Amino acid sequence: MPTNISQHLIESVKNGDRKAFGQMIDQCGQFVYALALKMTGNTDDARDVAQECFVKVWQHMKSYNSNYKFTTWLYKVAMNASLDRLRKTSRERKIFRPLNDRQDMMIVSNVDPAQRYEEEQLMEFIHLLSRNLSPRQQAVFVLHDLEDFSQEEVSAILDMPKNRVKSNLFYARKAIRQKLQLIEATKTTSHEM
Amino acid sequence: MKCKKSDHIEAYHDGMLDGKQQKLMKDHIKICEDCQASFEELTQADMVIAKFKMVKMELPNAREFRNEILQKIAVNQRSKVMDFNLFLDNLLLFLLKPATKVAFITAAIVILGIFGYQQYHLVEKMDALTLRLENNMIMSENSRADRIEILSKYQLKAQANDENIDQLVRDFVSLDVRYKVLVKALKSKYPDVYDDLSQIIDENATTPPQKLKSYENL
Repeated sequence: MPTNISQHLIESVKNGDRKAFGQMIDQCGQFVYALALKMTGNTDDARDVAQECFVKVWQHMKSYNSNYKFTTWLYKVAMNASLDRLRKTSRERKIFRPLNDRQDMMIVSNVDPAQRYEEEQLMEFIHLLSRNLSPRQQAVFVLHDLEDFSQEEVSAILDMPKNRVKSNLFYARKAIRQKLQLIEATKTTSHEM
Repeated sequence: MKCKKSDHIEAYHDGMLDGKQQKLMKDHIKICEDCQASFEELTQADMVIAKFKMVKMELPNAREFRNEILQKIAVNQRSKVMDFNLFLDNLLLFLLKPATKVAFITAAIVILGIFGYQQYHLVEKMDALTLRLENNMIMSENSRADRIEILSKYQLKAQANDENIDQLVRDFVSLDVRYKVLVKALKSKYPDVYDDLSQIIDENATTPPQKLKSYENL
């Protein structure tokens, strides 16, 4: 989560300062990309979504109310762009091809093998999320359990009542834990054999 | 056999039960092996999730990423200008369509016709007004005899054109001219009483025409 976006920078962007907007992208791009990646599970899609998000931020910056936390607003825009992309890709999958487990796993950071391994693991986990959760449940899970937002913040980002955040989180965790336990059990069995 | 309370183990694990239930569950886990195992499994699953939370996903080519966005924004702004140019192009194409051309030319002819007709009438009116003013000037510049002469010509002209002599009289601004014209009219209508009338008129040169009008009824 981006820590401090100065009010001065926000105001400059609001006034149409492109240089300031470039600085804002430098500060927040990483976080928006990471969120998009945790939602889409595909580096290309995540990059596109993050860019779409910033274009929307630029277009709608005037409508941003300074009384609210900027990061909440930014994540709201990023999450909406991610959910749009998820809906679009799921429609395309239904029309053009069946879901292939590893087809979308495109890992780009190839410098450090350990890092690469971690990324691949994370990608597998995200695919596990997207296969077993609805987009809204996935959004709640990602924001709360992976991005460390509070339930109130998740509620504000997703425009969802707090009790629905709670119930979605409960069901998402339940489903994911069950899957993880199942995977773990399968691994243990194959080792024993 | 599965423990009945194991259904609540997940809610307990996430701290979603109320205070009293939370405490009861805590005490129960201590004595129930089945629930203890479930709790352990949940903890392990959460450790896996926590591990994923720690993975840092680096944005590749961050500089390019930024420049691409800035480029998209610039293109969007340019495309707004392009949209306006496109609108002008489309408007021009629409105007150049044969049907549109015919409609425009017809409309232009009608508008110009109405305008021209109005202008023509305006000129006519202006001419009449100018003529009337000129006549008035003639009336005031000429001697009394000449004025009567001119007026009688007008009267004849009016009669020849089958115009209403009263209307012609009313059109003249000068009072003096008005009653002179009236007198002339009376002369033509009632020649036998004209001499008496002209005498009265000469005596009352400043008499308002309203009074003289009563002679019309003679």
